[in-house]
This record gives sequence, structure tokens and C-alpha cells, in this order.
Amino acid sequence: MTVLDLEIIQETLDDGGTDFLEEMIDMFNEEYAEQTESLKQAAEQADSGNIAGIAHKFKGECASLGLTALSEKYDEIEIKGKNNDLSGIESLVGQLEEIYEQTISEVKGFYEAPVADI
Amino acid sequence: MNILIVDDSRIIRARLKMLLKSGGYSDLFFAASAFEAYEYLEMDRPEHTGEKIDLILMDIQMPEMDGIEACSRIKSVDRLQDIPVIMVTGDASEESLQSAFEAGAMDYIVKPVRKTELFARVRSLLKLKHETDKRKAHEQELIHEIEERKRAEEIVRKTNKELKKANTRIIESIQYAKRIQQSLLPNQDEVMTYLPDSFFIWKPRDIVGGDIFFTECFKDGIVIAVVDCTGHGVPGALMTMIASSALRRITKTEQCHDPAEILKRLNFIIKTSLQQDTEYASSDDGLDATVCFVKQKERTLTFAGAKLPLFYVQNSEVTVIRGDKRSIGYKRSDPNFEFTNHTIPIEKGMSFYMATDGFWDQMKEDETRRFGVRIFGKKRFSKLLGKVSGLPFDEQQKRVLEAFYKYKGKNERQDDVTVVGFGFKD
Repeated sequence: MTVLDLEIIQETLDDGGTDFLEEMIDMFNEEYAEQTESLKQAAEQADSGNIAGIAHKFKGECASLGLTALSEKYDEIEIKGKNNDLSGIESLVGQLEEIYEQTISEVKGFYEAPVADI
Repeated sequence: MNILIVDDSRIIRARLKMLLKSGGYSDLFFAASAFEAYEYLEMDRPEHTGEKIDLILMDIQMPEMDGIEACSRIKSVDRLQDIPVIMVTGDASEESLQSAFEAGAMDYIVKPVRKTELFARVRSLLKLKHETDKRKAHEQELIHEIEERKRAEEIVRKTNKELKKANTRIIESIQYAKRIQQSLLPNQDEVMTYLPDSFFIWKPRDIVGGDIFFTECFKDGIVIAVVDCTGHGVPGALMTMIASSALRRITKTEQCHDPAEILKRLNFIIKTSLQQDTEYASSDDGLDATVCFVKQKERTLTFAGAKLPLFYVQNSEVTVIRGDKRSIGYKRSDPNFEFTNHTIPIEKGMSFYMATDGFWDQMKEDETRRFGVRIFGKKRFSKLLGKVSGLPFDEQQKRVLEAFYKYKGKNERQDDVTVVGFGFKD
């Protein structure tokens, strides 16, 4: 599984620097914490419209940040929401957590210096 | 050029900002919703007073109002129609893009936005916007110019109408003045009773003129005068009124028939009538004149001239008697100047001619001459008189006029023209 789009990450680093990348990831983390809760609730309530809306927004944001694996997962969720097919939706939402952790861990590598270097 | 980015995601707004800034696009504006975008564009105002937006990057899927609806509303405002809209979308389905283009979008970019693609599309649409603005500005200039021209034409049209009206009034007034001036001239039928062999040419340059001729038959003889007043047109005509009235007063009231004395008195009357004998005179006008007194019984003709000559022809030989080199009535004219009488015995077949300088001063174009013109000249006039003098006087008049008009051709008339000819068969 490709977790990050390195081309986009590199583009961000080239034009904005590590600070900018970090700032963007911080912004993402804030939204993620807030919206994931909403997404879980929507899944519990089988609110397909809301599921599709939230997933669409995150799909775009993740893609723009180069967080490919997350973007693809949100795409799956958005399609489910749009098609009003909520079978296995909770499982999909659940998978987000793991991918998110892995993604953040990998992306941090681009702006957090290794402990050994400090 | 100013770019407005409309996206509900602050992450995407921040990324677009970073990318565009790296491409040198620094005049960026941001809206988190369609409604915020409307505020920037001042959609509710007929005239935009804020920053002029040259390009909009619009997200399609946004809460409250999506980008397609927002684009459609923006395009419905006349002054915003030319702003290109690029849809930035994660949904590149045919259906979605078709709706975007129908709403007036000019292009689209699929998320994640790639720098190269973004720059290419932004550059091309900003160029298009720049060209559109230039063309519109040029069109506005043209419209403005056309309106200005129309306004100017309207003013010219109105002015022309007023001028035409004023001109008509002036012409009518001058035409009436012409009738008055003509009434000052001797009655031709009456003149024929005492000068049966004669002709009178009186051709003002304009409707009225500064020339006049005068004849009056008295018991002791006939007074004939030709007067050339200062200028021509209306001012000249006013002078002829004074001259004519003065000649009547001198010859009829004062019963003075001596040509030299007539000129002297005429000099006095003109000077005093126009107060040109005073220090405070505002005008300086006068006249040249030639006066003859014919004593038929004694068969003599006495002539006196104020800068105008007398021509007479005997046996086809033309003689010119110059008048005194003094004009009449001007400030500088000496009121005591004694004009010279010249008395000529009248013999059978002699013809006499008096004229104003308008005839011999008439010019025509002649490139061989220093100033490109040649005047008719007194010499040519003398020759003409010599040529026609043997003909009946009505024929003489015709020939003299023909010679004048032939010489003048298409050239302008310089002055009023008066020629008086008379003769004695017996």
C-alpha cells in the first residue's frame, strides 16, 4: 500500500518548507479528530449523505497533502455513501484509524528530525 | 492580477496559496464559501468598489452552496461575466464537469492540484482575461469616442441650423438693403431722355456694394458722377448712402454743378458727417470719385477726379485724364484742397467713360507672374474702350461685361465694379 504521494510531499517541502508541511499536518490532525467523530456517528446513524460529504472533503484534503492511502480510503467511504450502500461502513471507518497512524508517522519523518540527530 | 480562491477546506486554500505564491502570483484572496466569495465580488452592488478579481479558482463540492451554483450566479452578473472560473474538483465525473461548463466555468483542475498543471491553466486564463480587459477597454474608448463625436455632431448640427437661420435673416435684411441702395441709383429710363447714348454697369461684389453712380439733368447741364466708397458689402453700402445724399444736396439744394467744387464740398460733407474732422473720430472712411458736368449747348464737358480718371475716345484714340491724387472724406483729406477741373470740347462721335478701380484691379491666376496673379490693368481697360467705342452703347455694355467676366474666369471678384459710358453722336 502506498501511504504517501512523495511527489506532492516533495512539492510542499520545496515551495513551503518543513514548517509549512508541519503546519498543514497540524491543521489536518485538528480536523481529523473533529470530523472522524462525526463520521463515526453518521455511520452509526446510517446517514449516507453525511458520510459521503465528510469523506469527500477528507478525500480532497488528503490528496492535496499527498496522504494517498487515507485519500483512497475516504474515496471508498464516499462511494459507499453516495451509493447509499452502507454495508461494511463501520469496518471501513475503523480502518481509517490504522491508516491515519501509519500516515502521520511516515509524514512526520519529513519534518521531525531523527532523535539521533538532535 | 488578482485571484480569488473559493474552497471550504482551509488545507486546500493553504496549499493553493503556497503553490500560487511559488509561481509569483501574490495577489490572492480567499473565501471559505460561495457567500464569502460574493462579498469579495460585491455581488449585491451594481458597481464594484473593491479589488478587481481576474480569476476564480472554485471548489465544486461545498456546504450551503456548491461551486456550480456559485459560478452560475457569478456569471449572471454583467460586470463579472468576463472573470474566468476554474473548477477545482475531486469529482471529475463527466456529469459534474458538464454542469460546471454549463454554469460558465472555463476550465477545471482535478485534486490533488499539481503545480505544473495549475500554472499552465492559471497563466492561460489570466492572459485571456488580460486580453478581454484590453479589448473591452478599447471598446469602451471607441464607444466613448463615438458618443463624443455624436455629441459634437449634434452641436455642429444645431450650430449650423442656428447659423443658417441667422444667415437667412442677414441675407433677407441685406436683400432689402439692396432694394434701398438700388433706389438711390438714377432711373435708367429717365437718364435715357437726356443721355440717350449711354450705358451703366453697376455690379456690387456682394449683394450691396460701395460703388454708386449719380446723374442729374439741370437747366445748365448734366452732372454725372461715379463714386467708389471705402470697402464693399454693407459698410460700403452705408457710405454710398452718405455719398448719394451729399451729391443730391450739393447739386440740387446748393445748385453747385462745378465738378471741382462738387468734390470739394463732398469732401467736407463726408468728413463732417463721419466726424472725421475731429480728434475723436472712430472711423476713417472716405471715397474716390469722378464727376463730369456736360454743357450740351456749349458742347463742353468738365471733369474733376478724386483718384479716379476719365477716359474718352475720339476717332478710336483713347485719352486718359487722371484725377487729382487725393481721396475724399478721410481724416487725412485736406478739407481745403482745390480739385482740378479739366474742360474738354465735345465733338461729334466722342465717347466718355467713368469707372471705379474694381474693373481694372480684377485679378486672375497667372503662374508666370511673381505673385501668381495678373490684374486686368488700366492699360487693358483703355484698349478695351478703344475697341468698343464705335459700337452702339448697349453693345458696348455687353462687350465690356463679357471682357470682364472672361478675364475673371473662375477667380473671385475683388471689388465692386461700376462703368458708365456716354457719347454724343451729333
